[in-house]
Amino acid sequence: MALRGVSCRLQAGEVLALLGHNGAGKSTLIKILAGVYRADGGEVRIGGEPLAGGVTASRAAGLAVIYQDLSLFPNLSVAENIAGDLAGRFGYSPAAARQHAATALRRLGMEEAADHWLELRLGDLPIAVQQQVAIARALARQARILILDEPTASLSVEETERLLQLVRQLAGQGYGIIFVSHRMAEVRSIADRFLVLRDGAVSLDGSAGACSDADLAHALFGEHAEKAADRSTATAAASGPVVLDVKGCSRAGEFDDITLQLHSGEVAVLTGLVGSGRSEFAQSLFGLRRFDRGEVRLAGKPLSAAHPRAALRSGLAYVPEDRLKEGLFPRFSVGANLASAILDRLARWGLLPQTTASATRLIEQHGIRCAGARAPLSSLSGGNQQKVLLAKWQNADPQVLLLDEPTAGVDVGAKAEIHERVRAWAAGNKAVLAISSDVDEVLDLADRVLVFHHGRLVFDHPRSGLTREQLVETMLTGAAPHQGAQA
Amino acid sequence: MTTTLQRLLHRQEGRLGLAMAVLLIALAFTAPGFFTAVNLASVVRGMGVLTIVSMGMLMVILTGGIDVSVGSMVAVISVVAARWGNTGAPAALVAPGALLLGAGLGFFNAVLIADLRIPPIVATLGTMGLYRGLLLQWTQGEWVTRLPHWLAAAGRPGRFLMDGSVWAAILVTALTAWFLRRTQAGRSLFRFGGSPIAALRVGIAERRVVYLTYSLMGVLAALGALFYAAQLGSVQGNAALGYELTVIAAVVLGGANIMGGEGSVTGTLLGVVLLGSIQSALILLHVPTFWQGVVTGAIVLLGVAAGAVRRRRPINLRALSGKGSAA
Amino acid sequence: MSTTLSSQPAGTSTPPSPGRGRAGLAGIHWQPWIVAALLLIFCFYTGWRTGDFWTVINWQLLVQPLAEAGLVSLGMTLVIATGGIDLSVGSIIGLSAVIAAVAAQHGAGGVTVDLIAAGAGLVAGAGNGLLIGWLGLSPILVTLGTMILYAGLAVGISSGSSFAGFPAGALWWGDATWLGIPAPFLLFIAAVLAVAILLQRSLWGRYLLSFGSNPVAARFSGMPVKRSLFAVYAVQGAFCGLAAMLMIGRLASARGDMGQSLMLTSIAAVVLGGTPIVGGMASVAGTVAGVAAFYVVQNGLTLVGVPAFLESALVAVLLLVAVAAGNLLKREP
Repeated sequence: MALRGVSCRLQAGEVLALLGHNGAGKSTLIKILAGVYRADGGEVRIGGEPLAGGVTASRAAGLAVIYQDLSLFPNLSVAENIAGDLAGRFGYSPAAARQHAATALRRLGMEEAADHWLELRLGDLPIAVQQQVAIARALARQARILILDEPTASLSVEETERLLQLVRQLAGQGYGIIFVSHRMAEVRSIADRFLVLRDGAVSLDGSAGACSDADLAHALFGEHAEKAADRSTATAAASGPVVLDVKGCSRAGEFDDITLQLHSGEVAVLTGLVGSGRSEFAQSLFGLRRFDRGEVRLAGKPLSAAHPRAALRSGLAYVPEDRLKEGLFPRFSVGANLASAILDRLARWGLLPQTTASATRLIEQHGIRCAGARAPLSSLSGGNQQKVLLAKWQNADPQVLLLDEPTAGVDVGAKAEIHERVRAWAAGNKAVLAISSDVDEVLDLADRVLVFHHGRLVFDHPRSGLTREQLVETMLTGAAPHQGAQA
Repeated sequence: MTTTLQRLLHRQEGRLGLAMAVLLIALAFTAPGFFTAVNLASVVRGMGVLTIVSMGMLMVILTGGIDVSVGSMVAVISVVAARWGNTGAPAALVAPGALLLGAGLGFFNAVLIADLRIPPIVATLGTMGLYRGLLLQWTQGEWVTRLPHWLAAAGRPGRFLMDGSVWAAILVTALTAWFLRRTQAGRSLFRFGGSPIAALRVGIAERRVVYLTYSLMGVLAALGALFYAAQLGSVQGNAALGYELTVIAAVVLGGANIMGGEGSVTGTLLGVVLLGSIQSALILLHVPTFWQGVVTGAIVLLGVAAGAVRRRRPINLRALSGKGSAA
Repeated sequence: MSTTLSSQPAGTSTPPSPGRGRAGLAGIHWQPWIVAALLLIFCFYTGWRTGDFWTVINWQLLVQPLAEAGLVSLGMTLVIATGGIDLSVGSIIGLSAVIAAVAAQHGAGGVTVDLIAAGAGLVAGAGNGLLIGWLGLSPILVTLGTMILYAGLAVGISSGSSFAGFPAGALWWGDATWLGIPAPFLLFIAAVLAVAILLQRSLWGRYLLSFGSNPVAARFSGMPVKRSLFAVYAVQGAFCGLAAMLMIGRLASARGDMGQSLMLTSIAAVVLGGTPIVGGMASVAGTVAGVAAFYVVQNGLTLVGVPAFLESALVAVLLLVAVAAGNLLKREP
């Protein structure tokens, strides 16, 4: 029973924010609207006309879903992605595709793209641009209602701003928009109405003006509303000796002259716009890329990570952003995944012992909800898979942990839990360098905040006293905030 | 180096063209006999069949599939056509019949892949053995040494020293290029190969794509088989053994991505030309036939390595529009 | 749970499809038993049809080519577990045989010839390993190229003719038996045990399965991916060399095109046994069942009087039916 008696309305020119935990029923609702699923009961009306089932009917009625995976063709051109199936019924006219595509892009205000980018291969373009292409495709197909499913999940602050602007613009042009997101601050700025789902039913349905943040939190979390601890006044964690010492590290075209120090016991969060060089820097530390210049010392010893194995042996671990594609083995068991970073340490004479007992211990330790060490990883929820990923690396007992977007795609509740665990782990004389594009996460997790801007480290200060506005401004402009900057 | 040349070299077709140019220059010095009209014509005639069959394989590979039963299909069709034609049946019956048989063999592959969900490599490995085994059983190892006159005629050099296979190859190439560039059905191959999930969401059904490509492969294999028989003058159960590998080599050399979604008619044509020219050159240089395998294999490996070196760098949009560089 | 010969990392259950908690009936652990059951039925039927089937001499003859194909199939299991494939196995066998022949021509003794055959295979496989492991090129394309290359070398070195002047020592494998069991089969059994332990329990085996399951995660987890891949293709080459050695013993001759048919047979045996072509999981028991199926069925069909040419067709049908059946069974929730 994925949905029970869900009713709502959307008007032209209105933005409806659809909120809810994973499993609350958001994607089921979307799929019913898109025609992928059929509703067992109830009906959908578009413009007063009842909607028949099936994907074609939904499309014909003007409904377009922009999925998180975008559903585009990376090997084809921008023009063909936008208007490929509009450029002829049996024959295909590249010229017609280009024309339709240019029109759609212009309606989005993307003049540049309409003039120059039509023949570029989509897969070579940044994700933010690909997303805009996905929206252009919906427009080209005469969509009247756009459903955006977690569109800001892989976007930076700047790109998110641009997307929100675009949404406002489209609403102003008369489109109806359903915006699904985890991030309350973002939806606040554009929503006209809120619809919150919990356990398959509606827990809140009202206009933006009438719903306070407290109302939303209550609707999302129910009786056990936990507000994330307000850490703006928290004192920095007691920090120990310098554990990671980076001097003058540079890589042509990506980042320049980065100097910073990480102390044991502290959690530093690195943020900045996409393209600011922060991910590239982290990957260079781990040996996935090379520094052109500069020196790195880990616990006093020089770190020359030519390869992840070398970095691991020196005590540096990197937890990648895309857990399923880069970090875990979906078809293996939970136990096998937990052991996957320390296999060489477990092996005796080249053979591996049974790891079930230690795996069970780890599962308990990290609060991973699963059917046991032998359960297949794919049977776990996103949040629990993320816990497995973190547990796997903490198991490897590194001195320094690099976390790339540690709670990407994770439920609000699990997010807070993961932040707690990360802080607790760091307190055990370890250091954590996290990367995040989620401003709220930065503020919640960090003892120290580091901001990259155009490849340079422009801000490096303790978290206390830093407000959200100051942080966003620094990320966008690269200038350190005027007040509150304590050494 | 000018930027046009640089951009050209970034594409596999450009690199192939360069390799061809180098090869031809080398040949001009070491094997002057290569550039006589007679020899060039013979080289071109030798590429006809390979071109026809490679176009079919290109389409299969574009969708992310593969078909290693091609050699067996060619053998089956050439023997069937020869024997059937020898019973006196007219060309107007045998030729279309052969094409239909090819379509049927290809369609059977499609059913295994799309309906029984057998991975393409496994399914076509199976039909490779199945078709070959049935053929050998039917021929009992005997050769068909006599061809119907119309079939033999197709293999004889005629106008411009070309034979039927060349004209057919030109036609097939043009049709394939038109199909892939100018029809929605053709574009659906690229779409499906690029992202089967996205393709499904825009209404491109996997079954349709698979049925279409493998059946077309069968038809083109059949067409190639007819000219194959015509050129050889006789056919037998073990014909075209291992042929599929030459075909795949040509398509892959031409820049097609084995995972699907990328490839071109031009590239495949260049791949065929390169392979064919090298083979002919080796003969002219009196290199023992056995060593041809070595050279061909080495070329394939070089081509694969060269293709892999081309790395996809994300496009720097700011630089593209001249707005200044990113940090 | 699973047999010790079925390999997934310790503590795993049958591989589920996304969103399901339990695999369908024909998960990787079931397929070997389905094949074995079908095979047993076939054996009884054939035994009933002809008295020649269940004789010692028949089985002694049967297991020799079975052992050869079996060795190659074991290597192929390892390769496929990494998500790769090796199309060059037939050519490596031929090349190893030819090089061994050259050694014999120069007066090498029996043991030396054997070692050279294995060594040549190892080196040829290492060539694949270099291109695939270190340079990261696509396995299907590299082994396509080396298949053509090595075949050309083999036929070139031997000038297309066969060589028969092997010393008696090299032919030992063709006659030796222990308790009536031909030595090649014992070698095969030893290899089966070794590979099973390697896949199931060894560090290297875990690296291979991890790479097959998720190459990026394997690298990020600090696994020595390049080295492991290089090794697996080299080992596959060594197995091919050993198969060449056994073939020489059985046929008392060597040709450049020996072993060509084993490419299809070994891939088919692995797939028939339930190992998925995409890698990440592997079943040694399945491969053994698959190899046994092909050779026993072929043998049985010959005895029953099925024409030789039809055998390959029937074996192909067996492969297709078994894989299709496995797919259909898997779809049951």
